[in-house]
Amino acid sequence: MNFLDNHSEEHVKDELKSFGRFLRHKNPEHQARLRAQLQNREPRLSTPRVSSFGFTHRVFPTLSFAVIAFLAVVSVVYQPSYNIGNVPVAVLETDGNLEASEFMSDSTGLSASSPSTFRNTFLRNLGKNQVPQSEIDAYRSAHEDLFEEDVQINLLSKEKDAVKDVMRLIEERGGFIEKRQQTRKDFATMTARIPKGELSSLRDDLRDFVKSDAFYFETSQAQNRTADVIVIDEKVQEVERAIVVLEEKLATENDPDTIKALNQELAQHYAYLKERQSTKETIMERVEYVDLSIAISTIASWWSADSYRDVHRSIAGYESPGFLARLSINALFVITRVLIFFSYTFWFLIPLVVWRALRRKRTSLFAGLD
Amino acid sequence: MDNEKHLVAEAKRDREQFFTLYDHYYPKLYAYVLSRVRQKERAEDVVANTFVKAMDNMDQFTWRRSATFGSWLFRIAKNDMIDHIKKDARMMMVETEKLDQTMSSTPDAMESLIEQETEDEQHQQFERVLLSLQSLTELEQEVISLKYLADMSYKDISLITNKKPNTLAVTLKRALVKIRKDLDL
Repeated sequence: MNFLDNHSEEHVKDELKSFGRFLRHKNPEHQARLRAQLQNREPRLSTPRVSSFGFTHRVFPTLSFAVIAFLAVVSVVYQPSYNIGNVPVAVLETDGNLEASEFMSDSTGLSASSPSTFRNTFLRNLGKNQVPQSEIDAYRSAHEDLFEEDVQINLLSKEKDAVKDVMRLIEERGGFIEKRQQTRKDFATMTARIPKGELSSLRDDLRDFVKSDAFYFETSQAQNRTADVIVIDEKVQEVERAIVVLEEKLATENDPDTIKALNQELAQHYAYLKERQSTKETIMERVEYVDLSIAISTIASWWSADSYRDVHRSIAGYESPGFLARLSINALFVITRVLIFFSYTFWFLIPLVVWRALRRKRTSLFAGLD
Repeated sequence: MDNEKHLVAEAKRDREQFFTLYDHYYPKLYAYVLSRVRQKERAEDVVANTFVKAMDNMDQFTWRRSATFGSWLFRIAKNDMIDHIKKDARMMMVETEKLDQTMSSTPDAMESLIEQETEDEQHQQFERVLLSLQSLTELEQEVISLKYLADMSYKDISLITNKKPNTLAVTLKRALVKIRKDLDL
Protein backbone atom coordinates (compact mmCIF):
# COMPACT_ATOMS: atom_id res chain seq x y z
CA MET A 1 0.00 0.00 0.00
CA ASN A 2 2.82 2.27 0.97
CA PHE A 3 4.65 1.37 -2.19
CA LEU A 4 1.53 2.12 -4.21
CA ASP A 5 1.10 5.44 -2.40
CA ASN A 6 4.70 6.40 -3.02
CA HIS A 7 4.51 5.29 -6.58
CA SER A 8 1.39 7.33 -7.31
CA GLU A 9 2.82 10.32 -5.46
CA GLU A 10 5.86 10.19 -7.74
CA HIS A 11 3.47 10.00 -10.66
CA VAL A 12 1.69 13.14 -9.45
CA LYS A 13 5.00 14.91 -9.09
CA ASP A 14 5.97 13.91 -12.63
CA GLU A 15 2.68 15.26 -13.95
CA LEU A 16 3.21 18.55 -12.13
CA LYS A 17 6.81 18.81 -13.28
CA SER A 18 5.79 18.18 -16.85
CA PHE A 19 3.14 20.89 -16.57
CA GLY A 20 5.75 23.20 -15.05
CA ARG A 21 8.16 22.57 -17.94
CA PHE A 22 5.37 23.41 -20.34
CA LEU A 23 4.59 26.68 -18.57
CA ARG A 24 8.22 27.71 -18.18
CA HIS A 25 8.85 27.52 -21.90
CA LYS A 26 5.54 29.00 -22.83
CA ASN A 27 6.34 32.55 -23.77
CA PRO A 28 9.74 33.02 -25.45
CA GLU A 29 8.41 35.97 -27.52
CA HIS A 30 7.52 37.96 -24.43
CA GLN A 31 10.81 37.00 -22.81
CA ALA A 32 12.75 38.36 -25.80
CA ARG A 33 10.55 41.45 -26.09
CA LEU A 34 10.86 42.30 -22.40
CA ARG A 35 14.60 41.69 -22.53
CA ALA A 36 14.93 44.19 -25.39
CA GLN A 37 12.77 46.73 -23.55
CA LEU A 38 14.81 46.40 -20.40
CA GLN A 39 18.07 46.73 -22.31
CA ASN A 40 16.89 49.93 -23.98
CA ARG A 41 15.48 51.35 -20.79
CA GLU A 42 17.10 54.43 -19.30
CA PRO A 43 18.58 53.60 -15.90
CA ARG A 44 16.53 55.14 -13.14
CA LEU A 45 18.25 57.39 -10.68
CA SER A 46 17.37 55.86 -7.37
CA THR A 47 16.88 58.11 -4.41
CA PRO A 48 17.35 56.57 -0.99
CA ARG A 49 14.09 56.15 0.83
CA VAL A 50 13.89 58.17 4.02
CA SER A 51 11.63 56.44 6.42
CA SER A 52 11.01 57.19 10.03
CA PHE A 53 12.54 53.85 10.92
CA GLY A 54 15.59 54.67 8.81
CA PHE A 55 15.88 57.95 10.63
CA THR A 56 15.80 56.39 14.08
CA HIS A 57 17.99 53.61 12.77
CA ARG A 58 20.70 56.17 12.03
CA VAL A 59 20.10 58.67 14.79
CA PHE A 60 19.85 56.29 17.73
CA PRO A 61 23.28 54.70 17.35
CA THR A 62 24.82 58.09 16.61
CA LEU A 63 23.32 59.60 19.75
CA SER A 64 24.23 56.55 21.78
CA PHE A 65 27.80 56.78 20.56
CA ALA A 66 27.88 60.50 21.37
CA VAL A 67 26.59 59.87 24.90
CA ILE A 68 29.07 57.07 25.47
CA ALA A 69 31.93 59.17 24.11
CA PHE A 70 30.87 62.07 26.33
CA LEU A 71 30.70 59.84 29.41
CA ALA A 72 34.07 58.35 28.57
CA VAL A 73 35.65 61.80 28.20
CA VAL A 74 34.03 62.97 31.42
CA SER A 75 35.24 59.93 33.30
CA VAL A 76 38.77 60.63 32.10
CA VAL A 77 38.74 64.38 32.68
CA TYR A 78 36.83 64.23 35.92
CA GLN A 79 38.98 64.18 39.01
CA PRO A 80 37.74 64.15 42.58
CA SER A 81 38.24 67.42 44.34
CA TYR A 82 37.89 68.87 47.78
CA ASN A 83 34.97 71.17 48.02
CA ILE A 84 36.41 74.52 48.94
CA GLY A 85 33.96 77.38 48.97
CA ASN A 86 34.20 80.03 46.32
CA VAL A 87 35.49 83.31 47.62
CA PRO A 88 34.07 86.45 46.02
CA VAL A 89 37.50 87.74 45.02
CA ALA A 90 36.16 90.25 42.55
CA VAL A 91 34.18 91.99 45.31
CA LEU A 92 37.24 92.07 47.52
CA GLU A 93 39.31 93.71 44.84
CA THR A 94 36.82 96.33 43.75
CA ASP A 95 35.55 97.92 46.90
CA GLY A 96 37.18 96.12 49.78
CA ASN A 97 33.86 94.73 51.07
CA LEU A 98 33.00 91.12 51.55
CA GLU A 99 29.48 89.87 51.36
CA ALA A 100 29.20 87.73 54.43
CA SER A 101 26.26 85.71 53.19
CA GLU A 102 28.18 84.40 50.21
CA PHE A 103 31.22 83.02 51.89
CA MET A 104 29.53 82.11 55.13
CA SER A 105 26.98 79.93 53.44
CA ASP A 106 29.58 78.50 51.14
CA SER A 107 32.15 77.79 53.80
CA THR A 108 31.54 74.11 54.06
CA GLY A 109 35.22 73.29 54.28
CA LEU A 110 36.41 69.92 53.19
CA SER A 111 34.13 67.20 52.06
CA ALA A 112 36.79 64.66 51.33
CA SER A 113 35.08 61.99 53.34
CA SER A 114 32.29 61.78 50.81
CA PRO A 115 33.01 61.08 47.17
CA SER A 116 32.84 64.16 45.03
CA THR A 117 30.01 64.25 42.60
CA PHE A 118 30.06 65.19 38.97
CA ARG A 119 27.91 68.24 39.66
CA ASN A 120 29.87 69.76 42.49
CA THR A 121 33.34 69.10 41.12
CA PHE A 122 33.56 68.69 37.39
CA LEU A 123 31.03 71.33 36.42
CA ARG A 124 32.22 73.76 39.06
CA ASN A 125 35.85 73.31 38.11
CA LEU A 126 35.15 73.62 34.43
CA GLY A 127 36.69 76.90 33.34
CA LYS A 128 37.43 78.31 36.78
CA ASN A 129 39.61 77.67 39.77
CA GLN A 130 41.91 75.73 37.49
CA VAL A 131 45.40 75.83 38.83
CA PRO A 132 48.01 75.36 36.08
CA GLN A 133 49.96 72.11 36.22
CA SER A 134 53.26 74.01 36.26
CA GLU A 135 52.16 75.90 39.35
CA ILE A 136 51.16 72.65 41.06
CA ASP A 137 54.49 71.04 40.17
CA ALA A 138 56.38 74.09 41.42
CA TYR A 139 54.46 74.06 44.70
CA ARG A 140 55.00 70.34 45.22
CA SER A 141 58.72 70.58 44.54
CA ALA A 142 58.98 73.60 46.88
CA HIS A 143 57.23 71.61 49.60
CA GLU A 144 59.13 68.39 48.93
CA ASP A 145 56.21 66.62 47.37
CA LEU A 146 54.27 67.04 50.53
CA PHE A 147 50.87 66.11 49.22
CA GLU A 148 50.25 62.60 48.12
CA GLU A 149 47.37 62.69 45.69
CA ASP A 150 44.09 60.86 45.30
CA VAL A 151 44.11 57.65 43.35
CA GLN A 152 41.23 56.29 41.35
CA ILE A 153 41.31 52.57 40.72
CA ASN A 154 39.00 50.51 38.57
CA LEU A 155 38.80 46.79 39.02
CA LEU A 156 37.00 44.18 37.02
CA SER A 157 36.85 40.80 38.68
CA LYS A 158 35.20 37.44 38.32
CA GLU A 159 35.38 36.92 42.07
CA LYS A 160 32.02 37.31 43.76
CA ASP A 161 33.74 38.47 46.95
CA ALA A 162 35.97 41.00 45.22
CA VAL A 163 34.65 43.87 47.32
CA LYS A 164 35.39 42.08 50.59
CA ASP A 165 38.85 41.09 49.37
CA VAL A 166 39.72 44.67 48.45
CA MET A 167 38.44 45.90 51.82
CA ARG A 168 40.60 43.33 53.55
CA LEU A 169 43.68 44.45 51.59
CA ILE A 170 43.08 48.04 52.67
CA GLU A 171 42.41 47.27 56.30
CA GLU A 172 45.47 45.03 56.56
CA ARG A 173 47.55 48.14 55.80
CA GLY A 174 46.09 50.24 58.57
CA GLY A 175 43.75 51.92 56.13
CA PHE A 176 40.04 52.36 56.62
CA ILE A 177 36.97 52.47 54.48
CA GLU A 178 35.17 55.77 54.72
CA LYS A 179 32.24 55.01 52.50
CA ARG A 180 31.04 52.05 50.56
CA GLN A 181 28.19 52.00 48.07
CA GLN A 182 26.79 48.94 46.40
CA THR A 183 23.67 49.77 44.50
CA ARG A 184 23.80 46.62 42.43
CA LYS A 185 25.20 43.16 42.93
CA ASP A 186 27.85 43.59 40.29
CA PHE A 187 29.06 47.09 40.92
CA ALA A 188 30.43 48.80 44.01
CA THR A 189 32.33 51.95 44.77
CA MET A 190 34.25 52.77 47.87
CA THR A 191 36.16 55.67 49.29
CA ALA A 192 39.06 54.62 51.44
CA ARG A 193 42.16 56.06 53.00
CA ILE A 194 45.48 54.35 53.55
CA PRO A 195 48.81 55.53 54.90
CA LYS A 196 50.97 57.05 52.19
CA GLY A 197 53.72 54.44 52.47
CA GLU A 198 51.28 51.59 51.85
CA LEU A 199 50.05 52.72 48.45
CA SER A 200 52.74 50.98 46.49
CA SER A 201 52.23 47.59 48.16
CA LEU A 202 48.46 47.96 47.86
CA ARG A 203 48.85 48.50 44.13
CA ASP A 204 50.99 45.37 43.87
CA ASP A 205 48.51 43.31 45.85
CA LEU A 206 45.57 44.54 43.81
CA ARG A 207 47.40 43.67 40.61
CA ASP A 208 48.19 40.21 41.96
CA PHE A 209 44.61 39.84 43.04
CA VAL A 210 43.26 40.51 39.56
CA LYS A 211 46.15 39.03 37.59
CA SER A 212 44.56 35.69 36.72
CA ASP A 213 41.08 36.61 35.60
CA ALA A 214 40.32 40.24 35.77
CA PHE A 215 41.34 43.75 35.03
CA TYR A 216 42.97 46.59 36.88
CA PHE A 217 43.84 50.14 36.02
CA GLU A 218 44.27 53.51 37.59
CA THR A 219 42.48 56.24 35.76
CA SER A 220 44.14 59.25 37.26
CA GLN A 221 46.13 60.72 40.02
CA ALA A 222 44.31 63.83 40.96
CA GLN A 223 46.22 66.96 41.77
CA ASN A 224 43.47 68.56 43.75
CA ARG A 225 44.88 68.63 47.24
CA THR A 226 47.86 70.68 46.09
CA ALA A 227 45.60 72.83 43.96
CA ASP A 228 43.27 73.38 46.87
CA VAL A 229 46.09 74.48 49.14
CA ILE A 230 47.38 76.85 46.46
CA VAL A 231 43.92 78.36 46.06
CA ILE A 232 43.53 78.71 49.85
CA ASP A 233 46.91 80.47 50.11
CA GLU A 234 45.97 82.90 47.35
CA LYS A 235 42.59 83.70 48.89
CA VAL A 236 44.12 84.12 52.33
CA GLN A 237 46.66 86.59 50.96
CA GLU A 238 43.91 88.59 49.29
CA VAL A 239 41.83 88.71 52.46
CA GLU A 240 44.92 89.72 54.45
CA ARG A 241 45.49 92.61 52.02
CA ALA A 242 41.85 93.65 52.44
CA ILE A 243 42.29 93.56 56.24
CA VAL A 244 45.32 95.87 56.00
CA VAL A 245 43.28 98.34 53.91
CA LEU A 246 40.38 98.20 56.37
CA GLU A 247 42.66 98.72 59.40
CA GLU A 248 44.24 101.75 57.75
CA LYS A 249 40.79 103.17 57.13
CA LEU A 250 39.80 102.44 60.72
CA ALA A 251 42.83 104.29 62.10
CA THR A 252 41.89 107.52 60.32
CA GLU A 253 38.11 107.31 60.71
CA ASN A 254 36.22 109.37 63.33
CA ASP A 255 32.59 108.73 62.44
CA PRO A 256 31.19 106.12 64.93
CA ASP A 257 28.79 104.59 62.38
CA THR A 258 31.56 104.10 59.83
CA ILE A 259 33.83 102.66 62.51
CA LYS A 260 31.09 100.19 63.47
CA ALA A 261 30.60 99.13 59.87
CA LEU A 262 34.35 98.72 59.32
CA ASN A 263 34.64 96.63 62.47
CA GLN A 264 31.86 94.39 61.25
CA GLU A 265 33.65 93.90 57.94
CA LEU A 266 36.90 93.18 59.72
CA ALA A 267 35.16 90.56 61.87
CA GLN A 268 33.85 88.87 58.75
CA HIS A 269 37.31 88.88 57.20
CA TYR A 270 38.87 87.35 60.27
CA ALA A 271 36.14 84.71 60.43
CA TYR A 272 36.88 83.81 56.84
CA LEU A 273 40.61 83.65 57.52
CA LYS A 274 40.04 81.36 60.48
CA GLU A 275 37.89 79.06 58.46
CA ARG A 276 40.37 78.84 55.59
CA GLN A 277 43.18 78.13 57.98
CA SER A 278 41.16 75.35 59.51
CA THR A 279 40.50 73.91 56.04
CA LYS A 280 44.18 73.99 55.25
CA GLU A 281 45.00 72.32 58.55
CA THR A 282 42.55 69.55 57.77
CA ILE A 283 44.28 68.96 54.46
CA MET A 284 47.67 69.01 56.11
CA GLU A 285 46.54 66.49 58.70
CA ARG A 286 45.73 64.12 55.91
CA VAL A 287 49.07 64.50 54.22
CA GLU A 288 50.18 61.16 55.53
CA TYR A 289 47.23 59.42 53.90
CA VAL A 290 46.22 58.64 50.39
CA ASP A 291 42.59 58.93 49.44
CA LEU A 292 41.44 56.07 47.29
CA SER A 293 38.41 55.97 45.11
CA ILE A 294 37.84 52.39 44.00
CA ALA A 295 35.23 51.12 41.57
CA ILE A 296 34.78 47.36 41.48
CA SER A 297 32.78 45.61 38.78
CA THR A 298 32.20 41.92 39.11
CA ILE A 299 31.42 39.96 35.98
CA ALA A 300 29.81 36.58 35.47
CA SER A 301 32.25 33.71 35.34
CA TRP A 302 31.36 32.85 31.74
CA TRP A 303 32.36 36.31 30.59
CA SER A 304 35.80 36.75 29.17
CA ALA A 305 37.86 39.30 30.97
CA ASP A 306 40.76 38.53 28.62
CA SER A 307 39.75 41.24 26.22
CA TYR A 308 39.81 43.84 28.97
CA ARG A 309 43.12 42.63 30.27
CA ASP A 310 44.62 42.40 26.80
CA VAL A 311 43.49 45.89 25.93
CA HIS A 312 45.06 47.11 29.09
CA ARG A 313 48.28 45.19 28.65
CA SER A 314 48.76 45.88 24.98
CA ILE A 315 47.88 49.54 25.08
CA ALA A 316 49.03 50.61 28.45
CA GLY A 317 50.84 47.82 30.25
CA TYR A 318 50.71 48.40 33.94
CA GLU A 319 51.84 51.94 33.50
CA SER A 320 49.45 54.83 33.54
CA PRO A 321 47.77 54.65 30.13
CA GLY A 322 47.72 57.55 27.72
CA PHE A 323 44.69 59.70 27.14
CA LEU A 324 43.37 57.72 24.15
CA ALA A 325 43.99 54.42 25.86
CA ARG A 326 42.17 55.60 28.95
CA LEU A 327 39.40 56.92 26.72
CA SER A 328 38.92 53.59 24.95
CA ILE A 329 39.15 51.58 28.17
CA ASN A 330 36.68 53.89 29.85
CA ALA A 331 34.38 53.59 26.86
CA LEU A 332 34.40 49.81 27.35
CA PHE A 333 33.48 50.26 30.98
CA VAL A 334 30.79 52.79 30.19
CA ILE A 335 29.27 50.55 27.51
CA THR A 336 29.27 47.59 29.88
CA ARG A 337 27.63 49.60 32.62
CA VAL A 338 25.09 51.15 30.28
CA LEU A 339 24.13 47.71 28.95
CA ILE A 340 23.84 46.28 32.44
CA PHE A 341 21.82 49.30 33.57
CA PHE A 342 19.41 49.04 30.64
CA SER A 343 18.96 45.31 30.92
CA TYR A 344 18.25 45.66 34.64
CA THR A 345 15.95 48.64 34.30
CA PHE A 346 14.17 48.00 31.02
CA TRP A 347 14.04 44.21 31.01
CA PHE A 348 10.33 44.40 30.26
CA LEU A 349 11.09 46.09 26.92
CA ILE A 350 13.10 43.12 25.66
CA PRO A 351 10.05 41.25 24.25
CA LEU A 352 9.05 44.45 22.46
CA VAL A 353 12.48 44.79 20.88
CA VAL A 354 12.45 41.13 19.81
CA TRP A 355 8.97 41.52 18.34
CA ARG A 356 10.07 44.64 16.45
CA ALA A 357 13.12 42.86 15.08
CA LEU A 358 11.04 39.89 13.93
CA ARG A 359 8.49 42.18 12.35
CA ARG A 360 11.22 43.99 10.49
CA LYS A 361 12.58 40.67 9.25
CA ARG A 362 9.21 39.74 7.80
CA THR A 363 8.89 42.94 5.82
CA SER A 364 12.54 43.42 4.95
CA LEU A 365 12.28 41.91 1.50
CA PHE A 366 9.90 44.65 0.48
CA ALA A 367 12.17 47.42 1.66
CA GLY A 368 13.25 49.82 -1.02
CA LEU A 369 10.51 48.89 -3.47
CA ASP A 370 8.09 51.39 -4.93
CA MET B 1 22.05 29.10 -9.35
CA ASP B 2 25.51 28.17 -8.16
CA ASN B 3 27.24 31.47 -8.73
CA GLU B 4 24.22 33.66 -8.01
CA LYS B 5 25.98 35.77 -5.42
CA HIS B 6 28.74 36.59 -7.85
CA LEU B 7 26.26 37.34 -10.63
CA VAL B 8 24.27 39.68 -8.40
CA ALA B 9 27.43 41.54 -7.43
CA GLU B 10 28.34 41.83 -11.12
CA ALA B 11 24.81 42.97 -12.01
CA LYS B 12 25.05 45.78 -9.49
CA ARG B 13 28.12 47.09 -11.30
CA ASP B 14 27.20 46.27 -14.85
CA ARG B 15 23.62 46.37 -16.13
CA GLU B 16 24.37 43.89 -18.88
CA GLN B 17 25.12 41.22 -16.28
CA PHE B 18 21.58 41.58 -14.99
CA PHE B 19 20.35 39.76 -18.08
CA THR B 20 22.09 36.54 -17.11
CA LEU B 21 19.89 36.54 -14.04
CA TYR B 22 16.94 37.59 -16.19
CA ASP B 23 17.41 34.66 -18.58
CA HIS B 24 17.60 32.25 -15.67
CA TYR B 25 14.62 33.53 -13.74
CA TYR B 26 12.22 34.64 -16.48
CA PRO B 27 10.81 31.14 -17.24
CA LYS B 28 10.44 30.28 -13.57
CA LEU B 29 8.79 33.57 -12.70
CA TYR B 30 6.50 33.45 -15.71
CA ALA B 31 5.35 29.90 -14.89
CA TYR B 32 4.67 30.87 -11.30
CA VAL B 33 2.83 34.08 -12.10
CA LEU B 34 0.81 32.51 -14.92
CA SER B 35 -0.28 29.68 -12.65
CA ARG B 36 -1.41 32.20 -10.07
CA VAL B 37 -3.13 34.87 -12.20
CA ARG B 38 -4.23 32.54 -15.01
CA GLN B 39 -4.29 35.27 -17.63
CA LYS B 40 -1.51 35.62 -20.13
CA GLU B 41 -1.62 39.44 -20.44
CA ARG B 42 -1.78 39.98 -16.72
CA ALA B 43 1.04 37.51 -16.14
CA GLU B 44 3.16 39.37 -18.67
CA ASP B 45 2.42 42.66 -16.93
CA VAL B 46 3.35 41.29 -13.52
CA VAL B 47 6.56 39.71 -14.81
CA ALA B 48 7.53 42.92 -16.65
CA ASN B 49 6.83 45.03 -13.53
CA THR B 50 8.83 42.64 -11.41
CA PHE B 51 11.94 42.81 -13.57
CA VAL B 52 11.68 46.59 -13.92
CA LYS B 53 11.50 46.97 -10.15
CA ALA B 54 14.29 44.49 -9.61
CA MET B 55 16.48 46.31 -12.11
CA ASP B 56 15.78 49.72 -10.56
CA ASN B 57 16.33 48.50 -7.02
CA MET B 58 19.26 46.22 -7.67
CA ASP B 59 21.53 48.43 -5.52
CA GLN B 60 19.26 47.98 -2.55
CA PHE B 61 19.26 44.21 -2.67
CA THR B 62 21.36 42.68 0.09
CA TRP B 63 21.99 39.09 1.15
CA ARG B 64 20.93 39.72 4.69
CA ARG B 65 19.19 36.96 6.63
CA SER B 66 20.00 34.43 3.89
CA ALA B 67 17.57 36.02 1.42
CA THR B 68 18.40 34.84 -2.09
CA PHE B 69 17.99 36.85 -5.26
CA GLY B 70 15.33 34.40 -6.46
CA SER B 71 13.26 34.76 -3.31
CA TRP B 72 13.56 38.54 -3.54
CA LEU B 73 12.36 38.51 -7.14
CA PHE B 74 9.42 36.25 -6.37
CA ARG B 75 8.44 38.39 -3.39
CA ILE B 76 8.33 41.41 -5.68
CA ALA B 77 6.11 39.48 -8.07
CA LYS B 78 3.89 38.32 -5.25
CA ASN B 79 3.60 41.88 -4.03
CA ASP B 80 2.68 43.05 -7.49
CA MET B 81 0.01 40.39 -7.79
CA ILE B 82 -1.43 41.46 -4.42
CA ASP B 83 -1.51 45.05 -5.69
CA HIS B 84 -3.43 43.91 -8.77
CA ILE B 85 -5.90 42.04 -6.60
CA LYS B 86 -6.39 45.09 -4.37
CA LYS B 87 -6.88 47.29 -7.42
CA ASP B 88 -9.46 44.87 -8.78
CA ALA B 89 -11.23 44.78 -5.44
CA ARG B 90 -11.49 48.57 -5.42
CA MET B 91 -12.81 48.56 -8.95
CA MET B 92 -15.26 45.87 -7.99
CA MET B 93 -16.69 48.07 -5.28
CA VAL B 94 -17.32 50.78 -7.85
CA GLU B 95 -18.52 48.70 -10.76
CA THR B 96 -19.55 45.38 -9.30
CA GLU B 97 -22.17 44.56 -11.85
CA LYS B 98 -20.09 45.56 -14.82
CA LEU B 99 -17.15 43.47 -13.64
CA ASP B 100 -19.30 40.50 -12.92
CA GLN B 101 -20.48 40.60 -16.50
CA THR B 102 -16.93 40.96 -17.82
CA MET B 103 -15.56 38.12 -15.69
CA SER B 104 -18.33 35.75 -16.52
CA SER B 105 -17.88 36.41 -20.21
CA THR B 106 -14.06 36.01 -20.11
CA PRO B 107 -12.94 32.42 -20.73
CA ASP B 108 -10.14 31.08 -18.59
CA ALA B 109 -7.17 32.36 -20.58
CA MET B 110 -4.81 29.67 -19.43
CA GLU B 111 -7.15 26.89 -20.38
CA SER B 112 -7.46 28.36 -23.83
CA LEU B 113 -3.69 28.61 -23.98
CA ILE B 114 -3.35 24.95 -23.18
CA GLU B 115 -5.92 24.15 -25.82
CA GLN B 116 -4.12 26.10 -28.51
CA GLU B 117 -0.65 24.80 -28.03
CA THR B 118 -0.72 21.23 -26.84
CA GLU B 119 -1.50 17.86 -28.24
CA ASP B 120 -4.88 16.39 -27.40
CA GLU B 121 -3.68 13.84 -24.88
CA GLN B 122 -1.35 16.26 -23.16
CA HIS B 123 -4.02 18.91 -23.27
CA GLN B 124 -6.41 16.70 -21.35
CA GLN B 125 -3.81 15.85 -18.78
CA PHE B 126 -2.81 19.48 -18.21
CA GLU B 127 -6.44 20.49 -17.97
CA ARG B 128 -6.99 17.90 -15.25
CA VAL B 129 -3.91 19.11 -13.39
CA LEU B 130 -5.17 22.64 -13.69
CA LEU B 131 -8.57 21.70 -12.33
CA SER B 132 -7.09 19.83 -9.42
CA LEU B 133 -4.89 22.84 -8.60
CA GLN B 134 -8.00 24.98 -8.38
CA SER B 135 -9.41 22.73 -5.68
CA LEU B 136 -6.42 23.41 -3.36
CA THR B 137 -6.17 26.08 -0.69
CA GLU B 138 -4.30 29.30 -1.43
CA LEU B 139 -1.16 28.21 0.39
CA GLU B 140 -1.21 24.75 -1.20
CA GLN B 141 -1.53 26.29 -4.66
CA GLU B 142 1.29 28.68 -3.87
CA VAL B 143 3.62 25.94 -2.67
CA ILE B 144 2.84 23.59 -5.57
CA SER B 145 3.32 26.42 -8.08
CA LEU B 146 6.66 27.37 -6.61
CA LYS B 147 7.96 23.84 -6.18
CA TYR B 148 6.86 22.04 -9.33
CA LEU B 149 5.87 24.73 -11.82
CA ALA B 150 8.58 27.29 -11.06
CA ASP B 151 11.09 24.67 -9.90
CA MET B 152 12.24 26.67 -6.88
CA SER B 153 14.22 25.27 -3.96
CA TYR B 154 12.70 24.65 -0.53
CA LYS B 155 14.83 27.41 0.93
CA ASP B 156 13.50 29.90 -1.61
CA ILE B 157 9.92 28.76 -1.10
CA SER B 158 10.33 29.16 2.63
CA LEU B 159 11.57 32.72 2.13
CA ILE B 160 8.89 33.60 -0.41
CA THR B 161 5.98 32.25 1.58
CA ASN B 162 7.50 33.12 4.94
CA LYS B 163 6.68 29.65 6.21
CA LYS B 164 8.88 27.27 8.12
CA PRO B 165 10.24 24.23 6.23
CA ASN B 166 8.19 21.85 8.40
CA THR B 167 4.98 23.69 7.56
CA LEU B 168 5.93 23.62 3.89
CA ALA B 169 6.58 19.88 3.95
CA VAL B 170 3.20 19.17 5.52
CA THR B 171 1.42 21.55 3.12
CA LEU B 172 3.13 20.00 0.12
CA LYS B 173 2.32 16.48 1.22
CA ARG B 174 -1.31 17.35 1.81
CA ALA B 175 -1.56 19.08 -1.57
CA LEU B 176 -0.05 16.09 -3.37
CA VAL B 177 -2.55 13.74 -1.73
CA LYS B 178 -5.42 15.97 -2.85
CA ILE B 179 -4.12 16.18 -6.41
CA ARG B 180 -3.57 12.40 -6.51
CA LYS B 181 -7.15 11.86 -5.51
CA ASP B 182 -8.37 14.38 -8.05
CA LEU B 183 -6.30 12.87 -10.83
CA ASP B 184 -7.30 9.40 -9.67
CA LEU B 185 -3.75 8.08 -9.81
